[in-house]
Amino acid sequence: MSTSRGTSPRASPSSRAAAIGTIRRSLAPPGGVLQPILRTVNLTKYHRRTLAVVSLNLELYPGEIYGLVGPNGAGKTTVIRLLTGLSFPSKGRVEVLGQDIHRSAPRAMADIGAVVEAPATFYPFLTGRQNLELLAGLSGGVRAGRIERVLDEVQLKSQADRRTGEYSLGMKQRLGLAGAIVAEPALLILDEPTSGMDPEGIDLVYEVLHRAAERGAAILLSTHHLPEAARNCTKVGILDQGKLIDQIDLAGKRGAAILIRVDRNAEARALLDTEPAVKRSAIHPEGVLIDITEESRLPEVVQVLVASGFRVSAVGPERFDLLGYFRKRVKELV
Amino acid sequence: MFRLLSLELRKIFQLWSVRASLTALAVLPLVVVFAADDFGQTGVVIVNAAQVAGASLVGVMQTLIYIMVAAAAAELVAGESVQGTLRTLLLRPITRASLISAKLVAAALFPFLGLGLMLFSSLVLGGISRGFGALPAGSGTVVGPGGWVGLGQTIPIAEALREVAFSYSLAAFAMIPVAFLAVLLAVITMNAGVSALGAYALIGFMGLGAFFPAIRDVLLTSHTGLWYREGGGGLGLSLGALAIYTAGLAIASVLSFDRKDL
Repeated sequence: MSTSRGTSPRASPSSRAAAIGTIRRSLAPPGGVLQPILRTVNLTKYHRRTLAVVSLNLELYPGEIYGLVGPNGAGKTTVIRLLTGLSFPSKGRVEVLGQDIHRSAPRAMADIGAVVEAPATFYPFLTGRQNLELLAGLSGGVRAGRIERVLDEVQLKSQADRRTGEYSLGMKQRLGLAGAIVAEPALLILDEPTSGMDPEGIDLVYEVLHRAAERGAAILLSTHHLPEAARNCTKVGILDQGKLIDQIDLAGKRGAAILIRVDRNAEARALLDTEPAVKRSAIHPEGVLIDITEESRLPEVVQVLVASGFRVSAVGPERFDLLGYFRKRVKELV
Repeated sequence: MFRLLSLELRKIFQLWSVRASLTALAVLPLVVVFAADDFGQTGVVIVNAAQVAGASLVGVMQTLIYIMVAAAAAELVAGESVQGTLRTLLLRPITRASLISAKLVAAALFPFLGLGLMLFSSLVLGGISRGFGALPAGSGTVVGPGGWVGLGQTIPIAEALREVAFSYSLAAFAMIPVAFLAVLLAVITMNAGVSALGAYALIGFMGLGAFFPAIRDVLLTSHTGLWYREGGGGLGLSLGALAIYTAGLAIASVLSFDRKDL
């Protein structure tokens, strides 16, 4: 299996959604309801007398990429540490595939791959490969050749025999991701997995995460970078002062409409309304939103606009303005 | 558990406190060898390698070894917490008890390793400078009150070496609860400096208990000097007390770590 970025392009949102649908159907018991991979029930944490996490209820299903966003001090890291069993809840519980993570820790941890430090931490006197072998050995049941495949996937094969003490921040992050996925866990939990990385590194991280999600893993990650979350997550939870103030299903919002960036929005819309391929249209601050009968007819629609003298600068799926929404919600709370 | 233990043993040589301690312990006998003239002025004559080893042990057991053992044990736990690798390990399907147990075993081995190195260094340096002859005026004990200073009857070198090795073993054994006390404090505070100094301060504080006969026998510090006893009086009692402290501190460390937020 080739895992290089050049030969394994990232799936489009619509194909990802289809793949996730397939995974969900395959994992659901016949005639039954799909069970979440991760479930928290009234998860609450006090730091001395301060309430750090307030009655958090989360559910993550196979194929989902859940982004936990929030301002500094919102409690993201505390939540991540509770979910990975590093910290103990004052109330409530965390279940991974039905097992309480704090009561049956070693068994439940076998289903989790996680990075909770940014950058990920390793033994500096060991090489990247040795660190990965150590983690794989502690996880147990890692298939032969898996370490090489994972190193290839995170593009560290050529650097694998260098001591991690010599690694750059981005390389440590990628090795951290390799350590998280090496045992092919059902659940990935990552605290700021792209922190301090360059744009190429960030793309690589999300490619790896999307591939894991397509295989059926559920992924929870925290990030400060809202456009990144909007592009890559299927669901986003906004955390503020330890409370989950909102959850947005981005999979439902993304790709439902097509945004055409064009000059003279009103006139363009009037023209588009006459096109049989366009079911509905609407004015958007950045252009015209259309709902189309068949995706294959999009070039034809764009051609009509261009032929009529409109300047079309971009065409693509409508992206949810998470940053704008986040600002609005936080403002409302203040 | 074996994988964790081998990792801890490999890791211990990477710690700065351990490297510095091992270097100091290897070099210390050199001080004894070169200070022989000063010993001579006080009427003490260092005549063979066994005496160099005995004198080195007496020197290091006053203060230095407590600090070294506490620092190494504290860094094994708290240093790794600061570095972040403790969490990296705990994200794997291992029990917290197995991880802290591996650290306790590594911490317990350090005094044997350090004192073993010092014994070896003493015998090499002492052998080169003083040879392996019998004590001309030994007291019957090489290590112990008035022993290594060379008063009393003559003892052959083989017996002297046996005695020195036994004293080194007892000294290393006496340091295990000190190491475990530092591990316990490191689990509680997750701060290597505070834990090492805290363990040393607690040992010093317990030492004051010697002035209170009612509690003297239950204090750890009343038994850490078992390596120094002439004729081995009360050895069984002290070994038992040290074993109880060792077990108690190990259990406390495991239980504290098991519910520790990291």
